[in-house]
Amino acid sequence: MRGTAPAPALMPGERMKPKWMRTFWRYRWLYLFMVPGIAYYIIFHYIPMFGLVVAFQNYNLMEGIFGSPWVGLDNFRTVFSSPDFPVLIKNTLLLSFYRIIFNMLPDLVLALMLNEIRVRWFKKTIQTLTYGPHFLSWIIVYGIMFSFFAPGSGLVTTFFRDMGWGSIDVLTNSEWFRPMLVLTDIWKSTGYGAIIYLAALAGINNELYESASMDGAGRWRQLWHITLPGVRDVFILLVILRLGSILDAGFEQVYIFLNVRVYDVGDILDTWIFRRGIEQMDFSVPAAVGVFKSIIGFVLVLGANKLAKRFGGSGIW
Amino acid sequence: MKRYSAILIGLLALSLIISACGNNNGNGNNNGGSASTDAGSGNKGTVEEKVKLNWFVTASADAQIPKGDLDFVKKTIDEKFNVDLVIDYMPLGTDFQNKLNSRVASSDIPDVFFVDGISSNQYIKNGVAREMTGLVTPANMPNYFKYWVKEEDLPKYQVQGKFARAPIPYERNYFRSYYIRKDWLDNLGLQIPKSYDEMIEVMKAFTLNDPDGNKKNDTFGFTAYGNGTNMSMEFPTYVKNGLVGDFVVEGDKFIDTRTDLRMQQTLTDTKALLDLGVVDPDWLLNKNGQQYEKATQGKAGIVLGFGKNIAFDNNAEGLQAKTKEITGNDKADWAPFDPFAETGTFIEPVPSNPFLFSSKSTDEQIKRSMQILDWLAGEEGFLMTHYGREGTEFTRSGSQITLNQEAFKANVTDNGNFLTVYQWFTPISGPEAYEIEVADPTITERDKAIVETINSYKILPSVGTSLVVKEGMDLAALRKRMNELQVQVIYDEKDASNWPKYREELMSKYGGKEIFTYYAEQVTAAQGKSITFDSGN
Repeated sequence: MRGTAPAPALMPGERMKPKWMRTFWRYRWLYLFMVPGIAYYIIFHYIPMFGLVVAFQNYNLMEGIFGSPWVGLDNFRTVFSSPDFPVLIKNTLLLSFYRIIFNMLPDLVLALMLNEIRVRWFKKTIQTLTYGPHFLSWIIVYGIMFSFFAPGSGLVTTFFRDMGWGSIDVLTNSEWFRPMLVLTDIWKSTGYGAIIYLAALAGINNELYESASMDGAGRWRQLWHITLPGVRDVFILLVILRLGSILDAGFEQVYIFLNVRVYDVGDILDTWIFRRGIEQMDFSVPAAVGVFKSIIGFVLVLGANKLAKRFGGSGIW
Repeated sequence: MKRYSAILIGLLALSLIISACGNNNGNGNNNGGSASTDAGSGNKGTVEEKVKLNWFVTASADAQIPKGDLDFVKKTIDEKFNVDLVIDYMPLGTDFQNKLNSRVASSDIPDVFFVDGISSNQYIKNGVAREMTGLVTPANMPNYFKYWVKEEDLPKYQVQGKFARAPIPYERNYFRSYYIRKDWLDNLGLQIPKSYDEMIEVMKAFTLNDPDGNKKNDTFGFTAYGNGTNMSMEFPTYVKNGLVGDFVVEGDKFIDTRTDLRMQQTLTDTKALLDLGVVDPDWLLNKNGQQYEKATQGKAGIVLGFGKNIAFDNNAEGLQAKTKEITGNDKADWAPFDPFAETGTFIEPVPSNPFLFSSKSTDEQIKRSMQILDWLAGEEGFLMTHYGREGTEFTRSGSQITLNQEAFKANVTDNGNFLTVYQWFTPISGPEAYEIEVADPTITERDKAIVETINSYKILPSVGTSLVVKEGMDLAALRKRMNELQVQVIYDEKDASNWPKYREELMSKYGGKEIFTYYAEQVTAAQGKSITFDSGN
């Protein structure tokens, strides 16, 4: 459409409209198409953001946002002076970093391996099998883990005991808790995570491979010089997106797997927010943590994008 | 760039207008609500309109209300009071609380709801609960006051200077007792234990001596549940060390049992017990109910049970029947016992769990709800919600009712055991209050002996009032830290010598001193003599 619609000639007597209005008129249909998308973001993302003001109030359910008293930064003071806070931050960050490192690489590796498979039916089968677990809920995954590793009656625990190899203790051991979260997450989401890389791989021009092999490049050379650069942008994009939610360490999974013996390593900001907000009906302090999380995430996304650009890649925008 | 920002500003303005409209609408609705309230009360005397009611209550985990007319209680209530009563129900626990809180937070407050004593404070403080002055009165709820609650007890139950919660009728006996596999004892030639030490010896024998004779080392002496969060109070080590119930008064001292200094010995004893390897290792991760699964699977020989009929012969969902069904062992026999039967097994119940009204409901909704509650508390409602319909599930002659078990099983038990949902308001095991006797042909001599045994246990006096957490204090944080420390002592430390230090932390850093001193003040007010709390070591 661009360029095909010439600017309408000015009618005699009509006042010269500002330039932006003319461009707006020229692309009016495109803007119209934008409206539903923008409306979605406004209604479901921007308007709820006004709710953040409860972080600066002593929020009372019955008074609502407009009736609750303002308390300035008191809620933030409560959060930052809480004895739990340093531990929560540490657990959240550690778990998030583990997830970024150990969850993104397997996704990529699986995609690369699938990409090398030439037998179609085999490739399809493996792909289906690996992304199946994505559709299980964490409750079910925990149920499976519990049946395998319950300290007394678990399948694997019992096997270990009966073989005389001593007892293993996965669910209630502080050292095992984070690896267990990461491993179950890998099991559950790797297949699904590989899909986006497979799409990127499919987009690489085949001629590149052909000419590379003409120049005598083997499989590994091709991987290094063509395939990896081909998915680099997608990888960086995902890293940036993940950094934005670095203070979300996977609430659902952690909440379900958490027990009293692993509080010291497993209690994260979100489980704390949930306990405080839903279990104790205290909304202001958790909202303050929410604001804090968003600000950190926002700064990180901006920073990561800048870095990505500086190092020669392309950022998100 | 410029044009984008212009559009952005335009859209922002639009969104502000939209949100402003939203608010106006909200206010409009509120006004509408109160207007119809006025109309409702003004219409008294004329033909009553059908009212929609929504309640949120507790029920046992297996309960499920059937669809349509199969739920004869709803049918009766709807016709009798011209309402459409929708009951939401869940077993009491964290999920119950979370669901209720989510509903309250989204302004979808049930007209009548059940909540535990301590949480009720929060709802009253936030104004979610409606004041009951002039509502819950002997004139409006005659049965409730006639049979269950004394009017003069209500002031004791008030919190924050408001009458916004009232206790649900409660059983004078918890029927809390340990149960033991008598057939296993017989196999091993042992007696029912009478003391703590004997109980431990039996646990050892149950673990090591193959009580079920299957030649496999697959049984444990005892099982319990810790929900993954806390040291279980089902361990007999608490009562052994004089820590009975949640709170007790000793002389002029208020004791919070779980943070008391004697926890050091309790933890030491529990550690020793766990080290013996006689306790089901899953106990900490077991959710409530899983301990009974272990017991009915024949994996554990002692378990703590609540409720009068938990081990009755013909309670299809109970320990006894289930164990026989699952293990296929006809000789399975759960017998009640308590090593502390002579000295005190537990504290007497206090009115603790209240019902609340929503502050958003109309007067008419509250009025009808009260009528229904009072009907539930009265003879007709009680009999229907416990025994079914007269003439179908039971027959009545004078002051005696005779149960028809087959009809009850077909119409109630096999329909999701739904009567327990309606029993939330009268969780009482028998109709003695109405001077009615139940002739239940399925009650066996063994069942009667169980009740007799449990009734013979010594029960200790309670603090006599329900307690309120001091404004601004975080009891949940204290309990969470307490649980964490106790489990840490049990599993990760070599002995319990750190407990006094931990207690100090709970009392100072987590505000235990203030919370429990405030509790002691309330007990002082209730008992009329000075009770204090000592937070020192």
